[in-house]
Amino acid sequence: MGKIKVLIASTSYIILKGLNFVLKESEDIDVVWNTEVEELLASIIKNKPDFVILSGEIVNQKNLKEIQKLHGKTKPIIIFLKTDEHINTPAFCDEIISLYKDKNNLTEQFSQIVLKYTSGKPREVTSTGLSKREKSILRHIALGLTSKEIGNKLFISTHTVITHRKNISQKLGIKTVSGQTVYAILNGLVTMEEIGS
Amino acid sequence: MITADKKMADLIHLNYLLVSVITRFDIRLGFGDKTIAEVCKENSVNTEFFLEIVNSFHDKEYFPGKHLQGFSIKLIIDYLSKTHQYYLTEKIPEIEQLIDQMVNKCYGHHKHAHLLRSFFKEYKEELISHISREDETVFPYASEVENAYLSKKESKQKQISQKGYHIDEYRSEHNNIEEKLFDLKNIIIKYLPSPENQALCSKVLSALFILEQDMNDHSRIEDNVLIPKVILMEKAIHTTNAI
Ligand SMILES: [Fe+2]
Ligand SMILES: [Fe+2]
Repeated sequence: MGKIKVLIASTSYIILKGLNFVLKESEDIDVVWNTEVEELLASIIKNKPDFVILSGEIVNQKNLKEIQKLHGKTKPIIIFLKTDEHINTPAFCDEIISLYKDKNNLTEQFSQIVLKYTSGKPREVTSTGLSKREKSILRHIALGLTSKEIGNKLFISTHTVITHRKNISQKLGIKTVSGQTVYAILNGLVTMEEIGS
Repeated sequence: MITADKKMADLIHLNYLLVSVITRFDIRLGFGDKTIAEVCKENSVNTEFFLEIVNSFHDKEYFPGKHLQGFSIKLIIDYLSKTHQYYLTEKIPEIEQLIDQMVNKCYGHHKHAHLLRSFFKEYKEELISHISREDETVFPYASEVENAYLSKKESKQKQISQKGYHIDEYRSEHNNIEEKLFDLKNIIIKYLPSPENQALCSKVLSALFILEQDMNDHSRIEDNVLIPKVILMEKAIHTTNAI
């Protein structure tokens, strides 16, 4: 299945636990975490994550080089967790997430990042199953909601909904709303009573 | 490439789907060893036009645009309308019947049996309204443009200018119709529960594939031959009447 593998590294147990909780809720992902720098390097090799999320304090001049070297090998996307002390963006990271965002903002930003790096990649083509988020969007499509309405309901932007919809079409091989509704009913995402047909 | 000196019978051996195409020219089977040129002459069919149509139908790489644009709009529309009739009176009823049988025999006890039927019905209605819009609005407009263009009469051309209607407005509809057909195939191939009668399913599928191929060719002629031709004439009319 097309789960996304995310590796998170921080010395703070609370950050790890909290991020794990938020990420698992928003996407179909596997989370691996590490609290030690030594572990982190081995873990990148072993797990070949799609994304690596590093909190600021775990990175220093010495290990940065090694992380970058491995980064080139396994092609994870490095995301930096920004706290108050980190005003400048370090050059090695691809994305920045601020620790002080609220839940919806955080979920939204992470979905955006995932979509940015995964849409159109082989993972999408080979995977047949829809992610949790995609299933929930498909359910709303079948219920007759517009992208904007779906965005409002799920606390994500219209743009994100549209990107999800593109991926859903591609994965299912079904392009029209009525075709996707048939799929949703056949797969129990929605009942005939609910859509009133 | 198919040429005028080839035997008509060999044409059908080459691609049996062309039987339905020659029918649109009112050419009937039983042509013995006659060549394409001979059969066309007997049936008062424009041989050059016939060749362009069968070549582009048979070979997707054979781009009909340039050559076909040399023929009159009347001739092109005549062929396109005949094709519409073929869809409406033969292909659609045939597929509809097959789908009915398939629903009854394969998915009779399945609680979602009628989903497929209503999806097809939706598709059919969309197709019918698209076709009638072409037959009743687009094609008559295209002939008017051609008449006005050829007549070189100012009064006629003014009428066209004043309509303010443009041919390319209807082009996007083709995508929707193609997409629905594509979805229908995938629902049957991938997502319906395994059928109790596989043979029936394969009949439905091959009918859908044949229809799709035929319609792709048809829309290609509309989009790449008819529309550009009308646009050129519209432009010529609008510029001569601009002042
Ligand atoms: Fe047509
Ligand atoms: Fe058309």
